[in-house]
Amino acid sequence: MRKLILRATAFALVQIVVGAVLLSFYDVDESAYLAATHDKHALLERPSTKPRLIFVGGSNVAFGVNSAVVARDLPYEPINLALHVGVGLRLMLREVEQSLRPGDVVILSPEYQHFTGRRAGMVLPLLEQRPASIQYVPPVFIPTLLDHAINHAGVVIRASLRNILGRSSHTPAAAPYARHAFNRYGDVVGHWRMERPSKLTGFGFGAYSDGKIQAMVGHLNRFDDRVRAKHARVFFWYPTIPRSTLREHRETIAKIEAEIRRTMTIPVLNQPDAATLPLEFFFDTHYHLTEKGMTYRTRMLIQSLRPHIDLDDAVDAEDAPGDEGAPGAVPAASGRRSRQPRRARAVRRVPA
Amino acid sequence: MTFTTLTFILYLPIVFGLYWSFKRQSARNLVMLLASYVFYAWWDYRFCVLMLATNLIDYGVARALARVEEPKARWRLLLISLVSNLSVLGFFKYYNFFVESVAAAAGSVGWIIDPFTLNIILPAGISFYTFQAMSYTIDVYRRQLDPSRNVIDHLSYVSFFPTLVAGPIERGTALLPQLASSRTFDYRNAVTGLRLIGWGFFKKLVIADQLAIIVESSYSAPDVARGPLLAFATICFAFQIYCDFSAYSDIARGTAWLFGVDVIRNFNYPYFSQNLAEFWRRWHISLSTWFRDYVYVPLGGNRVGRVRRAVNLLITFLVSGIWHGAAWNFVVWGALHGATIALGTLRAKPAPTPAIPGGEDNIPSLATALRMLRTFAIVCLFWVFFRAESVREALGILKLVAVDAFRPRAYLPLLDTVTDDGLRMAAMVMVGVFVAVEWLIRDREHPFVVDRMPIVLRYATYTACLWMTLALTARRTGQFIYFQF
Repeated sequence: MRKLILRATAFALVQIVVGAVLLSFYDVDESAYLAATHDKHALLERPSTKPRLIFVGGSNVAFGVNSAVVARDLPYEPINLALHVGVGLRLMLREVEQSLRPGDVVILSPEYQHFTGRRAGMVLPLLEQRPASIQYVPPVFIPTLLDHAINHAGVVIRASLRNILGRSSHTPAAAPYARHAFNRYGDVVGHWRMERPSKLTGFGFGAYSDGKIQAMVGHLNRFDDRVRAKHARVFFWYPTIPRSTLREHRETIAKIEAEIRRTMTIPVLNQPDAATLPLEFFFDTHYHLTEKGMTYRTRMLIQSLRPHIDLDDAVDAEDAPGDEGAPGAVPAASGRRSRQPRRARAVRRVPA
Repeated sequence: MTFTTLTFILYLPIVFGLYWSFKRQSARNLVMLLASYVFYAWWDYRFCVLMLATNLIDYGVARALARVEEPKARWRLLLISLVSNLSVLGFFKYYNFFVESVAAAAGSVGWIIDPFTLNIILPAGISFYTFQAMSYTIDVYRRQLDPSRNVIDHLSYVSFFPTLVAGPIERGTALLPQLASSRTFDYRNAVTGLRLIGWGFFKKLVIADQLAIIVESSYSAPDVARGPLLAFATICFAFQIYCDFSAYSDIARGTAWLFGVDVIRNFNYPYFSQNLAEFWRRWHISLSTWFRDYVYVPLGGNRVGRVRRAVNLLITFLVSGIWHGAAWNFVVWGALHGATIALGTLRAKPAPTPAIPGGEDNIPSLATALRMLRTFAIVCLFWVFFRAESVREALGILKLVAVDAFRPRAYLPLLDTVTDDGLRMAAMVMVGVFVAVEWLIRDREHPFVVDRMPIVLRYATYTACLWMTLALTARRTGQFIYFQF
């Protein structure tokens, strides 16, 4: 036993040295999509004269909001904090929570998959970009991080070896999956002039239990409490997916919706059916919208949000989609507390 | 907990240290039992209760069998164990398949039934531990095994974490005596175990996970893929499932060696088989022998005439197909293997299985090479049914492969797929190297036979293999394929 321990320790030490040498050749790809986390944190920490409208979610929000329209139509400063579903909802919530100021409004639009499984596959790449974000990593993510560590190590080692061999360690990031694809609010706009791929990539749910849905809604309720303690507000906004996708996954989405309707305390701004759009509004995945889709979705949001923030300006109805999956009328916010919507605490009227 | 993760790499030394820090076997078995339940709870702790309940029933039944002599009473006791195990397996794995099949059959005669399906999560490894548990009570019933007196030993046997989730399905006759007897730490066994674990990591992370990307991209939309690409993806799947599953078995065996326990070897170079019957003697050996001993032999085995033997083979493979998955494509897959082997039995006396796959010569005769290639081609053909989502989809794939075979333009997507990613090309090279290495070491269990090397060179070899494995690791890892069974 002693011999095994000694040799295993010696072997481990050799590997630590080799690893350290390889790591010294590694440089982080600052043009990568997730490198935008630096810019988003800079937006979040920047002083502001106006209350802020902070968008939180995965890429359905990064590719789903036209913040310029928000900035124009609402007296809020929009900040789109969203990056990727794999960052994990719990991490996203911690990230925004620590930076909230009185009067801020959080628009929370998690992907449906957050309710059925732990999504944390992109946390390691995120931490590589911004190690300071480790403070937001919830303990429940640790098993997932350990599960992904070997594969991520592979990525790092390959990049180091390319550097050692004198080749560029990273393939240049291309729009829209690049840091430069984001605009000054944090929305992805790099695909606005690009041609839509011929088909949308996969959408699905792994095995899940109803308990997972309940646990996530409970977590959101606790987040709501903490946000209110900071004199800010949070609204829930269903993600936009194609109507055909909703039909295909109706059973799971109905379960999520039922649980939200039953127990969630956060006011809900729309419903899954009303959040759907025709296929031509989608870019490359079932969550990523084109420019037209982003703008339309944002207008739906503004219309739903107005009753809650005491504004009465009409929203343009132009660009409304036509046939397949045309969204219905934007419903009033629902939810346990939203039947009598609380009025915003720090709302200003839109300047004339 | 999955073997090829940092979680397991950190977990294993903790359990190893705890296990060997105790002198008494009972304490070591208790450590093993707790470690196994933590390992299993990592997926879903609720299913630990399910496993514990069925295992305790089996323990009770086996203890009762030791006291009862009357045949009918013994049969009733065995029935309790079989029903408890099979009903759990049936509910979690086959309920939806059953009601959907009934509804489809009723619909075909115009009787419309809305099937009441359930959103059931399949407990990891249920087919494996259920079969392991059933073999225990059957062996006790047959008086081939004395029931375990110690409940901890029994629970440790059924939930033995190295083999818990995807086998090898270890028999009580082999494992229980090891758990009940004194184990001493053996340096050479531990080193052999670590080498097997390393070989398993390489096969899973470098080959299986890389090939999974090619297979998934073609099989996720077979209606838009071209025939040559689908044929290539099927060959890739043949190596993916082999490297995936044999990797799991290697890591399981290696881990067991670390704890001084020997478990059955599950793979013995199956793709060098010269006929399908030999393939099944080399592929998933623990399951094949399980079905041989508990299904084929009770049906009559080799003691009956050729026709009856062929029918028995067909039945055994049908059951094996349904064991793999609750879907008709698995049933067809099993039936195809069974029918092919059964036909072979009818035609000629089975050829003996060579001790060394492919024979002793490193350059095989042309006839041997052709027989190996023919067997591999048949296995690949049948894998289409295993990998496809349905029988209809599998038939569609085979049709596309046949129709596109003589269309030169249909080969273009195949070239793109292979050449558009450096990592994928590296995986292709690795498959070639892997086959060559397997051929050269087919009289041994793994390639790390480096004992005669000087220690510095040996460490350098290990280090190079470790970092090469990490460098070629896929960007994402999938669960082991057999977890779903």
